[in-house]
Amino acid sequence: MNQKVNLWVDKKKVLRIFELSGTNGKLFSAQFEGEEFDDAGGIQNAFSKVRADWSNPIWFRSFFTEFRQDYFDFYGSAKLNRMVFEAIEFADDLFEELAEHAVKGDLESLFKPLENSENTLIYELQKLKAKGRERKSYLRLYAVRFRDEFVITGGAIKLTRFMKDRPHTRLALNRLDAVAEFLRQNNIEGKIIYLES
Amino acid sequence: MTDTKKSIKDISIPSRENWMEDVAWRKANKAWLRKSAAIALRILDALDELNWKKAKLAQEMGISPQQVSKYVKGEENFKLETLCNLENVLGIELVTILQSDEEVVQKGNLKNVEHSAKMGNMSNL
Repeated sequence: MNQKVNLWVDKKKVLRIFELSGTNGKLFSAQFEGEEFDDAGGIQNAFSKVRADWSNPIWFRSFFTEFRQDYFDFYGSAKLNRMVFEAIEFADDLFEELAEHAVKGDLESLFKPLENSENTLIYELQKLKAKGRERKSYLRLYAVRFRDEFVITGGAIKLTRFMKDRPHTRLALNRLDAVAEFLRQNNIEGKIIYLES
Repeated sequence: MTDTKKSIKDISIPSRENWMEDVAWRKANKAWLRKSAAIALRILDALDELNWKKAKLAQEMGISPQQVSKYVKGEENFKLETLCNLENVLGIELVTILQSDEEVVQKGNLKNVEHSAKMGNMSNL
């Protein structure tokens, strides 16, 4: 195939944390090494990178060309362009939902514990995921929580059962750990709260 | 248990990017953005079929490679003139205006449609 893009930068060193505008200081994004600048020279972070990728037909086309079989195994066969259209639709929906939650000051109900077994547990520097309303969607945003503040660590297309099964989801997992560690090193630590079930 | 008073805001810097405006813009312009993405994908398919790189398309159209990159990014609000140039250079159909008595049929279903039309004609005899 002629038109290829780099699907991800395999780096997990956190450079800094950006506060995202319009979120009353509740939503942040990490910036990783290799994400300093986009193609146009603008400053990037994990969140702006994932938004740029997930609105770009070329990026999705490259991704689904490489991981077509994973999609087929999960959702059955489909034409490449159909997968790209569907993914752009899912991405727009997810970002719209994130904006709605950020405006309402209700990010807690969007981001769920990464580990399903932690359903009733909230603790500082907990690893979280957001899937959005669309049940069929394979798009995930990942974040680390501290109190009612959320730091986005990136996103991934999850087409396998476990995150460790593919390099891009494994990287997303490593980046969650790297952000939690970065926050710890900056004295952002806290306590565990158990919710009543 | 002691609780630190430090927050993430204390160690962050403000992003100058207005992401909510971008999200609202994509939502408001969804209809034509979907068509733009469809055109981008058809161009990419054609480039693959011709085994052309984007630079070759730029050369054939007499435009910059950056302009071609914009075409295939799925956010270009194309002029009809540009679409006609793309159609000519790539040898593909990008815009078809259907008349009120026409409809689109996938190639695989063409035989069924022809058969149904034939049966319809026979019943009119």
